[in-house]
Amino acid sequence: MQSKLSYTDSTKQSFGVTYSWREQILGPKIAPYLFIAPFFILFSVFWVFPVIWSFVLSFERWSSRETVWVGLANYQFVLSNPATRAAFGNMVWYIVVNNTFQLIVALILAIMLDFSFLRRASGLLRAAIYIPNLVSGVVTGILFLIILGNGGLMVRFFAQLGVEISFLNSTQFSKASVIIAGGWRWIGYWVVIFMAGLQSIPDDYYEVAELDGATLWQRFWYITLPLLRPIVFFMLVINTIGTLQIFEEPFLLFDRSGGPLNSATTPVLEMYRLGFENFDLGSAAALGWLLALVIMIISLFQFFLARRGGWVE
Amino acid sequence: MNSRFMPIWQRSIVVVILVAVALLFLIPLWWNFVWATGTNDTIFSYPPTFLPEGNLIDNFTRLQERIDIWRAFFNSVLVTTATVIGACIFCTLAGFAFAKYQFRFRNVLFMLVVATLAVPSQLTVVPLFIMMVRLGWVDSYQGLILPGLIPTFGVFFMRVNAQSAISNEILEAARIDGANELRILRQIALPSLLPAVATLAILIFGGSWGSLFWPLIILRSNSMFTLPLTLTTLLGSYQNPYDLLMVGSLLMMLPPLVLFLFMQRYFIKSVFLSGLH
Repeated sequence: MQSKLSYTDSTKQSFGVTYSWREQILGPKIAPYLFIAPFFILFSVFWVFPVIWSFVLSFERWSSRETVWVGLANYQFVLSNPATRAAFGNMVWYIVVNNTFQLIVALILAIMLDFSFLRRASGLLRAAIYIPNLVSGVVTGILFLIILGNGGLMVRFFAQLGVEISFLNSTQFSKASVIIAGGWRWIGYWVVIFMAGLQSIPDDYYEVAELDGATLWQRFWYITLPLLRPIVFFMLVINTIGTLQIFEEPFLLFDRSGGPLNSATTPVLEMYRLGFENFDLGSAAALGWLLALVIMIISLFQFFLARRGGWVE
Repeated sequence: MNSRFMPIWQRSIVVVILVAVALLFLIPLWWNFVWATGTNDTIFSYPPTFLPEGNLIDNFTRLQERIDIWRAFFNSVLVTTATVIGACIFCTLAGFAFAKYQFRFRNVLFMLVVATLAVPSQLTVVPLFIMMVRLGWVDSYQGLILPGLIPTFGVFFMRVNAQSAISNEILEAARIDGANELRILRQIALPSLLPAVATLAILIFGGSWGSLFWPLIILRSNSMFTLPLTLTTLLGSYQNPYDLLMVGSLLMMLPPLVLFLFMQRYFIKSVFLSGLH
């Protein structure tokens, strides 16, 4: 490519063509800088600079009049504060339950939708399951506030069966409510991803297995699952990072709080409350960095685990 | 999976389960519609009702008395449109440059973009808020829009697409014919990148239309509120006006649903793209 460029340059020169300023600016040497400039100017101002500043802020007590360096005090406060401790505790629960729940349900649905006898109906059913993903977190929150709330459908359904459950007002089921609302919104999304993975498995594999007399379960266990591993791994990484950033569902379901006794609170929700309800911006920044650290560690851990298992190249 | 030899009874079980699950996923959306046409009694009736009633207009009028819903709708449309257009332009320009040009610091800058994919965006929120206070941009459109114009996964995505969709030979041929780089971008690169731009636009639209976190932090006055933020202000009183909320949330889910009807293909593509951020 470089040599061809100089060919055009020299051709032009040999014909005695001089470059106007316009030609130079819009030539292949300068144009790429113009193309990346708008992005990188905004990126530096609204991303790189804030990220660096938030690190500095996490060691400061910020106020509009006077900002004081407080060393690790913000981190100490965040790590000893009951609400943030609850948030990080809940996070572990959310990651385990949400990943298991969404993985199993989405995988089963995707495998069923992939059966060839469904033909055209498969696409229609997939669209139906995917559509809740178009709805935003706020709408999801409001809908499940009604469905799971007191006097709502689910509570009365269980009461009819003789089981008194309060989903949103009990420490026992508050986290599960967040998972249910989130599952409604995200399972269809994973079904779409898993189905693409399933469709990339050649039909010959299954046909050979069928000729050898493999049962449906054996075909799933020895063909589908091993070939789907990279996508399952991808889903777990992305879903874990998404789960770590849950905010809208608890914010709406529990009226801007983290649920009864902080039983369903999340790091991002606590970050919002620290920073923008208490205006303790330094502690909010510290919490942000702790969350970022957790996200990076989990991503690395999952990645090495997968590499050891030979799940990804 | 090939299912030629699957017995009928197994097929029936699969169909029954799938139809039941599909209904389970669709029912809350249908209820949203039914509840928007009913009253609070409809919403909390048990067993639940599935047929719409006639109170939609009345509910809408009462919602307008409580909040300026059209203003919020306008704000959301404005902010989302600006974000989608701006972000698509910036990401396409940068992605194309990273894919098809040699320039100094190219690799360093691209590594910087890739590295931010692992950093949660919430980290930037606190300093951004202080910046907006200093600039006097709290409660303004620019404060709301500008930080959303730089989705780094978009640059990554457009680079990958430019690499595969545009051949170097065509670019060279255009240069020999005397086209400048802007013309090459407009007449050669952009036409072949359009499907990718549409996919990116869908994804950015979804994130921006439903966004709550940043508007919650940066907006103060009712006249600036976006649709999601306005709806949350109705919550938390002694008794939540659920019938009004249902009208609002119906209004909020309509644009994405309509868009989905016309651009289903790009929605499905955007699913794979969003795994990047």
